[in-house]
Amino acid sequence: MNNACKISFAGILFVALAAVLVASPVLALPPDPDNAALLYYQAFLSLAQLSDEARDHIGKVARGETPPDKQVRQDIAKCAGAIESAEAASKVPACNWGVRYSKGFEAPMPQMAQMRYLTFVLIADARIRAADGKYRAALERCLMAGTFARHVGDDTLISYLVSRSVRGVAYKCMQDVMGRAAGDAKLLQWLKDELAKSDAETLSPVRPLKMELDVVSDLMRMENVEKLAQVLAGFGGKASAAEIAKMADEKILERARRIYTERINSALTVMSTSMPYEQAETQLKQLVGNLDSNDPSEATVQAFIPALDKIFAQKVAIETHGSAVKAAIEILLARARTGQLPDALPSGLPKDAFSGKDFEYEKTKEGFTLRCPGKDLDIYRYEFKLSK
Amino acid sequence: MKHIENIEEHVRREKPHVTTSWSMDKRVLDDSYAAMDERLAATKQGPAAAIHMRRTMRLAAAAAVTIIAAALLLTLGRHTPNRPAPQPQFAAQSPTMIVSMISLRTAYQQGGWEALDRQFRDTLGQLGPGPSSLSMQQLLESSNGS
Repeated sequence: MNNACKISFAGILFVALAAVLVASPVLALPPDPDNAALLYYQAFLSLAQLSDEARDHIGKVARGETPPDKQVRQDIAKCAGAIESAEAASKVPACNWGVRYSKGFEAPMPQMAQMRYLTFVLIADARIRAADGKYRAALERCLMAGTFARHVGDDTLISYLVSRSVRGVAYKCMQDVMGRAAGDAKLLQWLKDELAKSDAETLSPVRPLKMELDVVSDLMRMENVEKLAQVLAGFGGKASAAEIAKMADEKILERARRIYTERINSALTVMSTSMPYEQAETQLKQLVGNLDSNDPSEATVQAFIPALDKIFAQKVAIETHGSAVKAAIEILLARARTGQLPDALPSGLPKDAFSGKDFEYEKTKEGFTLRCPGKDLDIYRYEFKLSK
Repeated sequence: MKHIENIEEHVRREKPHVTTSWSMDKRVLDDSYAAMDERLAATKQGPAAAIHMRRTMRLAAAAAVTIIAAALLLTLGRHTPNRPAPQPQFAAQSPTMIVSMISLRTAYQQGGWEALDRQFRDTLGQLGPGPSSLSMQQLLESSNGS
């Protein structure tokens, strides 16, 4: 074949390929959403309409309070479309729920209740998979719920709290499944790598508290006094909204704004500063308390200031739970290498976020436990039951 | 069947789901006394027998009232038809209000995570998820069919 022929052949081939590409129906379709929230909203709409009892049962299975039975398997099967949409959403990096901040405290957030339901569905599905011996598939669901927790985000304080709750349920399930899959070193190594990738999230109560500071400060102004009075009346006091509105004046509201701003700003400083947990907790408790409910300005602040110490405790508790799961993986990998659980905690493992110290490690009949040092309550004790 | 037996049979059948009130109690007593008077008129067995009968009937009437009251007390825990369950103030205004940021924040402010979680549960009960999952194909099929 001479050169002219080769060039002509290449030209024809190029034109033919271009024609195929242009005519391809795939190119005619717009891309899938690049906002995970749109896919989650589709998932919410596809969740099966079940009775309160059936949803509660799914919740109990998800929390590991009861093993998956035939009924929950049927109900989760009805949610297959929702799970598929959530799976697609988990692969999209960005997530914007479209909160209407301009409406302030009146912004509707119907997605929050659906998030709770979807979480239970995802984790109940993980527990069904684990019950069927599909440990990797079960852990994949837990990781997916972890991504969902990150996507729930920290747009508002409620979002942040829900996000932490989703994370907690996912970690608990992971903790139970890991024990069953304790003999599979390859699976544990895979989980360790996946957690290292997916846990790089920086959700914190700081952002939603800043947002609330703006919303509440705006509400505590005379031009919004009627809205403010409605909110305060909604907190269950004796005075009606009309009575509260009548009593309010610029002096009271200006003082309320000042106290509220000072306290939230102090809380933001505490939460952003590295200090021992007990010290931070004490300072946050003081910022929430010491408000006189008979003083109109302080009573107004009292109605809006959130339980800062509890929010902070939840943040640290979830970080600790994550550390416990990661530390347990290392312990199980050591067991896989040596054939038995180590007698003492290996060095260099993730630490208890409350104390900054190593977990207290204890071998038990069924496996082992990790406990936060200096904490006696069971909620600070993570149990890993190993299958024989 | 006599009035008093009616009442006893009613209680035996476990149908005490009635509104309890003073008028209800009075009606039960009136029925009991009416039954007693009927019985007294029918027997006419002299003063001693009448007194004995009157005592018996009073005891029976009091027992019937006590049984109904006890049955009502036992069932009140499950059925409170006259007393609506307390609702969050925001929920009372509009079903969609319970999902507003302030309503959720109020729930958290007043009862912590447990109250917030309860509100999420109630929200699903009131607003639901969607009726069912429909694919685009199913939607097209239904519109073509109409």
